[in-house]
Amino acid sequence: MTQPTQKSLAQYAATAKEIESAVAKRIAGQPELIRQTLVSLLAEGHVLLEGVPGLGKTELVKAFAAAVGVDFARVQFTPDLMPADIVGTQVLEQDEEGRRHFQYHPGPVFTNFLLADEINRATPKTQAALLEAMQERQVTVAGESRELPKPFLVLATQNPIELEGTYPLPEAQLDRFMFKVTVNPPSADVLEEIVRRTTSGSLPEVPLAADLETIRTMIALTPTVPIAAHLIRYVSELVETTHPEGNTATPSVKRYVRWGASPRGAQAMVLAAKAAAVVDGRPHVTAEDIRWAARPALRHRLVLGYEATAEGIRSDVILSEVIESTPEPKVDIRGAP
Amino acid sequence: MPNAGTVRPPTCVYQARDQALSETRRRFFKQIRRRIRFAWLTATAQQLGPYLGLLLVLLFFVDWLTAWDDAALFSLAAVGGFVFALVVGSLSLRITDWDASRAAERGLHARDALTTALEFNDPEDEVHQAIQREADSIAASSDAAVAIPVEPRPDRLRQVALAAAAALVLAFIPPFSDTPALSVDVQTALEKEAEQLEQIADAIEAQDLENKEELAEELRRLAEELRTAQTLEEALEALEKSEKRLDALKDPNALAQKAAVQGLASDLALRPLVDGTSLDASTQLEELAKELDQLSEPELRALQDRLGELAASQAAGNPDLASQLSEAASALQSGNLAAASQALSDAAASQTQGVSQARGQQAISEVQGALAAVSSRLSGEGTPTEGNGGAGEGQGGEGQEGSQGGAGQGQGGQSGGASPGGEISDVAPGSGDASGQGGQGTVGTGEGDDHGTEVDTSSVYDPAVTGPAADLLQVHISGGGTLGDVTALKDTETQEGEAIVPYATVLPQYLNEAADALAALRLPPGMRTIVQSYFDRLAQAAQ
Repeated sequence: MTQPTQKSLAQYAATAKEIESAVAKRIAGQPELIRQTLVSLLAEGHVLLEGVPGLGKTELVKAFAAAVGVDFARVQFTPDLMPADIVGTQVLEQDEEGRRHFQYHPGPVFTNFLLADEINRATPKTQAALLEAMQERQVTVAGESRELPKPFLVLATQNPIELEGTYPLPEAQLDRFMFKVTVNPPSADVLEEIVRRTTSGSLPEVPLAADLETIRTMIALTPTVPIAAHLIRYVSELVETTHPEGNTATPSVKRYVRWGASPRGAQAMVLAAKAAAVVDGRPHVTAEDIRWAARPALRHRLVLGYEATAEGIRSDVILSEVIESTPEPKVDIRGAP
Repeated sequence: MPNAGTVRPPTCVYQARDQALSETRRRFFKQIRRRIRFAWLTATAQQLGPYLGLLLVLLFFVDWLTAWDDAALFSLAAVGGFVFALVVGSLSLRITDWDASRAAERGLHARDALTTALEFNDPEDEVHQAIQREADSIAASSDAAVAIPVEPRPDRLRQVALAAAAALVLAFIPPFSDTPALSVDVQTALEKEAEQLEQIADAIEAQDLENKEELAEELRRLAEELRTAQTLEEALEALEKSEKRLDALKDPNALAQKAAVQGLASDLALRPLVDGTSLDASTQLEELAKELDQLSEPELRALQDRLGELAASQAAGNPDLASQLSEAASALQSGNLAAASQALSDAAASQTQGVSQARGQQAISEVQGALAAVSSRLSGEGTPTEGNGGAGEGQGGEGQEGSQGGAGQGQGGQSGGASPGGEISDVAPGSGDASGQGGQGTVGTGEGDDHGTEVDTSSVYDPAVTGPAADLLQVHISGGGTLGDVTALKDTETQEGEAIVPYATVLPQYLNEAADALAALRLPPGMRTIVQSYFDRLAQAAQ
């Protein structure tokens, strides 16, 4: 294992707390949302934010960019948005000597934080333009691949209510998102705080909580966090339980799930658990980290059947049952805990 | 929730590495291992305890149902084996470091620190060393008893307690069947009674009895039924049926015939037909038949008269003999000595046959008495006999007919007494004297008081008092004796009117003698009842 840094784990945890606090100055009442986004950042995973308009999704991305001092770009996805509008395009230019040549103009994807606003309003072709960027962290234009800056994080939003004129994300693209974070409407207290902050003429400043180098070090540290073998087994069993054809599938899974979570789901859970350990300053992963990461990492990876749609069953309900029915590995000796 | 509560051991078996466990954790894991063994033992005992309890209930149920005597032994062995298996099983458990650390961290809610520390122990890695420090800290500050709690399972404990209580109840309540025939004690008792009956049958067959084959067969049949009886009730029923069959063999004129036979014997014993002999009656008649031609005329006339008297005395009890004696007397009167001799020979044969028949009838009564005693012992309803023995079935010795004071050696069962609770105890064959009562023994018994009140109600012949009726030959038959104990014979000089006395005068003496006779003699129970009720009626009348 490489030595990530001279800093201690406690110092990284303190940095993480500072980032969360800085973002919280702009985003009121959403600590879990902030934590999940920070974990995604450290695990280099993309986030799909789902929530009705006006819940501060765009502000969240802006605040994160400001807190860690990275570039930020926002793309409003519309039906007429073209792939080149995202990844960039070749433009025919003429130099001073009159010679013409194609000049590549980078798209907004060349940034650290890319906010893909209302991603489900773009056509599948445009949505697919993000596939390579999200998976390979590079874009290929005119046969030439160009690496994206590090860190690169896509934060996409989608509105679960307005479905007319939208193009639901295909499973292949959904699988590229590490987390699907549900942004819930604020409570009255939180709403009061939001109104107070946003109607006074100036928004609270988001302080810089960590430099880019620290963020990169923490990102490098995350996959090296030790995780015990039995916890990896636990993750595997959780994912297996989401498969309706599996031996351990719960009744809800068998009835409502058409396809269970993919191996990317297991990878996402382990990476997220490791990032959560870094955020908490722990030297190793725990089963609690895995259970915490299970819902955001798996909820968009379950393909539900029409029975679930008809009965209004959401993935979170099924995942709760899966988590409850899958015990942590224990000693196979009677009487032992 | 199909997976809820299931045990899923990790397939990612921890590969033992060249790791160096700190002393703190090594000590802690040792305690944890010990604790896991104890927890396994406790959990397994609670898991299997109800089944053991069920086994005990089953064993004692079989014991209760079939009077099986080894239930306690087997139960003890089952419990001992169970405990032994638990101890051996707990000691043979293989508990790896991973098992100990995983169990401990689950019990302590140590968030996977101990198992992670087992896998990641690079001395040069800062993160690994942080994990090691965390694990050591947990080991140093934790109690193994807290990490591996031993939790009682109330449901299982309740089941064990219930089963144990049921087993105890079954162990102490009386057997399902109140027929202890199946128990060893009762089987032994039945076997002894059967053997005894067979001995009696053998003895009867050796006797000169008219119906000895029937009696012996009946006794052997009964012995076999006792041996094969499945219940005590069945044995008692067989006894009852046997007694009824013996009743059918009884001759209603047996007593009259017996009196006639014994009367003739007594008469000829006192006044022999052949001078200077002490032969029995039939022999005397036979000898007389041979010696008729040697008698003088006066002797023949005297003999004629004597035979007439004897014929008259036999008319009621033994008409054949009476007829033959009369025939002999008539032949003498007509001077036909040959005919008289033939008649006397026939009379001798009739007397012999009468004796045999009387013995047979006597034997039937005594066998019935023996069966009643067996029945009493088996049913446990008999009256305690104070160790004096029950009514012995007297196999009468060869008491000489007409002899004075003849005594027979009896063989009979002797019961040490039946307890009031009805349990059979001390059933053993015994022997007792079936001695005949000589002299003036009067058969009878009585338990009444104040027998000597002066009530002049009726009169009775008293042989101690002389009178006109005293010339009768008084024959006293001791009821419990055997054949041949017809011994009392008294011939006295009497004066008219003196022999008839009021009952009240002699009743106390009679009662005492009867009581003594009943206590000393082995009378059949039925006969005792008759005698006792007879004296009871006399006592009431006297009062």
